Amino acid sequence: MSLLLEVQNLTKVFTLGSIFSRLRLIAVDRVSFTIEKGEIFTLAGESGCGKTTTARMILGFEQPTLGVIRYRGKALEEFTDRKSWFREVQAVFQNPFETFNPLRRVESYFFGTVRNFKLAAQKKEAERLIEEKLRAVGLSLEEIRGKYPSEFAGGQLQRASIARALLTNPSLLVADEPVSMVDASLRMSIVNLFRKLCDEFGVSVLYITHDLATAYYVSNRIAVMFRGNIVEMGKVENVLVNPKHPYTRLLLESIPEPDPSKRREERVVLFEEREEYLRAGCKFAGRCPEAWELCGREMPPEVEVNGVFVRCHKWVK
Amino acid sequence: MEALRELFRDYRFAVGFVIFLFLVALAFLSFASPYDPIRQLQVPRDQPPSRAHILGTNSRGQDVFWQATFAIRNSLIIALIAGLVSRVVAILVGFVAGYRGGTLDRVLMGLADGLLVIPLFLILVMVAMLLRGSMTLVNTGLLLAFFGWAWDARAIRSQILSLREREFTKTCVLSGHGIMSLILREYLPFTAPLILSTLINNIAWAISMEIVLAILGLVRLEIPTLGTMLQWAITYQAMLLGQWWWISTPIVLTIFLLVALYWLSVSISEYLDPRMRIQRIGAQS
Amino acid sequence: MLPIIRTEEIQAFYVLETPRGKKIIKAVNGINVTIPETTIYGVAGESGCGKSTFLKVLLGNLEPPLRHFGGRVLYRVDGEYLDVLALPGTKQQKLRWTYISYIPQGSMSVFNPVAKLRATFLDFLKSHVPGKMRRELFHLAEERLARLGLSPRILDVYPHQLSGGMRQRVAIALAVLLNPRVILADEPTTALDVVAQRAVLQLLSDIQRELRNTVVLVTHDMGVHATVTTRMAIMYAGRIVEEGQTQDIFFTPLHPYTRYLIRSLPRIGDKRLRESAPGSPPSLAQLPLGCSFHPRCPFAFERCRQEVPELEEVGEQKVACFLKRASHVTTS
Repeated sequence: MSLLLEVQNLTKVFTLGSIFSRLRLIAVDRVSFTIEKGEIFTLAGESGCGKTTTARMILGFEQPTLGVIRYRGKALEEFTDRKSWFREVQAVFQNPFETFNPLRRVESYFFGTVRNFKLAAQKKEAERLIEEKLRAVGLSLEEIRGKYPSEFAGGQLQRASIARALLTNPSLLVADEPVSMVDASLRMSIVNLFRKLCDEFGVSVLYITHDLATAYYVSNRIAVMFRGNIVEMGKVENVLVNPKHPYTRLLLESIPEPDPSKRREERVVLFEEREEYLRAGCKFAGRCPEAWELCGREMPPEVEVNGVFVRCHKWVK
Repeated sequence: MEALRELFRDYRFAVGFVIFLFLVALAFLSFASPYDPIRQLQVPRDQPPSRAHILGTNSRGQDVFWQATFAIRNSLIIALIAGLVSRVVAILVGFVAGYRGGTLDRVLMGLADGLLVIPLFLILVMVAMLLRGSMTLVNTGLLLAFFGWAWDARAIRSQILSLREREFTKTCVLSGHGIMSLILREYLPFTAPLILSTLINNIAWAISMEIVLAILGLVRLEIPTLGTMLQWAITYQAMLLGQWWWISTPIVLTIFLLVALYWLSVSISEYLDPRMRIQRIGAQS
Repeated sequence: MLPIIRTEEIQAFYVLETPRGKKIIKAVNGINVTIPETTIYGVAGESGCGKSTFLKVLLGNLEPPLRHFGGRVLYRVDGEYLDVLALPGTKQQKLRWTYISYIPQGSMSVFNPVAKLRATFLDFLKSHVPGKMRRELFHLAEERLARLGLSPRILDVYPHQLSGGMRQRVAIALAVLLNPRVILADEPTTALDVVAQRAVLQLLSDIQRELRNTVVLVTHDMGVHATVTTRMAIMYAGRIVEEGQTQDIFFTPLHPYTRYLIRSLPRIGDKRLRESAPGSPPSLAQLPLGCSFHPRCPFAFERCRQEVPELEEVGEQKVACFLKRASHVTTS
């Protein structure tokens, strides 16, 4: 089957506060999506929308309050130990200098991974495997040998991080803002790398970002999240070029485009952000220029419009 | 070693190291002592320093110099036992409480807090009074260890708590490492300076506490330690009688020892501080 | 129109003492720039190129380990040009906040962590402005906060109680409190969500238009430059490699680095392959000889390896490149 990852009704509720004032924060609210084999799927949204929490749950670093995560049909809980899960699913994080312990040599993580997952019997074999993965990202064992993280440039170190993640030959790579800390002039080479990994090696990528431009460039499908809900999901050409949900539209309008001829004159008015997480109805109702009274009361259902899923009352026929 | 050479550039380490080495040498010299450390009336009493007795003799008929060698040795033994045992406990408690969290953490920290809040001095005195007869070197060391782990356990725990949130913890887990491996590989380099400096501080503390206990007469006074030497000198009114060699020996030795330990502690923990180490790595390239 | 800020071969380096000797980081390595009045002037470049340091130098804020190694920074105040770095401390203080204002990267450093925000605002007003104007300016501040999506109740909290994005917006309101003639903004939108970013840029543009002052905006985000700036400079390894009208920089970049930069920007609606520049930027502590970009430049020749090119005019733009005549072509 070509379905790699299936997420159904995934929910995460955080309870904060003391005995006297408990606050329930619904960080991820009934999120459902699928990732196919050989596809790059983007989870996009601004900070606080729940995309990182979703990634953490998929990696097993956070327990879902509700919902199921299935990999090739098998539920996450059925994977007896973490290691068997990490053989299939690996991750790359935002800050390469935090990804590695500054007091340890970078290669120690490579050899450690090989040893722990029993990927090679002797040192020579291990070195060959590591060299292979490093070459796939444009580096070599020579280059990284003996060095500590602080001796690398950001772009290089992020590539090393990706190479480490590839060691177990995972089918799914969870990339959480992998290029937001990389310099603009080097960014595209790493983004192109993800494309290459997907096209040539069949590795699916769950790409998490707030940068819609790179999302458009690299992914096949995209889900836009707002305060824990997926508000729009579909092929990236549809969602980002013909946005249906008012929030997606607002996002797209607000991105500063690198094109001086397109200076926007419409103004945006900001509303207060508090309590949006706690809203009963559509979380965006407070800011939506097209909101009805119904929107504040009831959570809109997911509706399919031309192959795109939208969570908005306006699109309910 | 490269590290030692670097450390010696710091004057504090160099001086502290030399003094400490000298004192340790004195402690070892005790094995060559011609006199029994415990027996009294071995030599003529109250003699000022001379060629026969470099630091003179005391009112109990013992050679002050050779007594001092034993004193240093025994004080160091007590302090080392106290320091090492309390380190082990502090590390175990700190790591487990920090990484596991939850109820285990609360129980362990409750224990530690309890020990921190108890008026240490009173309890120490009470216990020492009860055990007076069996306050051997080892027992004194263990007693001090019992009270010395709580503070450092908390310090280690808070470091672990913050390290747990750092991204490389996730990378380590993703690389297939288990908890023990995680702690030893990732966290120990960060906690090492803390552990080492608290070890040295603990040793210094133990030495001082031993002196206090001795002055209160709560240890076996025939065993020469820095504290008991001082205690005897005070009891025999050495100062009033002008026997400066007897009373100043333990005082001067203690001061040197504590200063040396302090300087070692400060210079080593600065050297091992992760930020300094990262700077050194950067400077190499 | 006379320029309001002018720098002459300004150099400022960080001098670090490491266990292995002195390390000199040439963050601002000889910059000549003239910033016109009533513009939003952008300074673009990547992390580590020295642009934040450049802004600190423009402010006149040189604290060790940052040291002044040469050159001048001149501001036009009341018709004359003053060398900001040569001014005595008290005069510099007077200039700050009333004439020159600074929005730092990372908003926490602007606020007194143990005072409520209201106190910080009033404090500023008290030390710079006579009694009558205070009320007016305070109301103006509340109004601006509202335009940034923050209710006036925000003034009654402590800085640490706000999220990073909210703090950044308050920092901006504070920086423009006294309607300064020059606003130096260091990555003002980096910590913000896209929509908040838009509101902030809108506010900066509005203020610039109302007060007819100058904003020097440092950011690595080329989209921000395209949206708000009229003129911009591209910084690379401590020097300015290209300068001109924003339109020209985007549509006819001349310097090879700028061309790589512009060509690599992804755009929605366009899935064509985009390439980045090969290699990585040099460390400011170990700059290559000659032109700092030559190790990565596909057009480098002998002269590039030996001499450092100066900024020279090519049409309406200025480029620091020996190729300037040959590379006057449009991007694809």
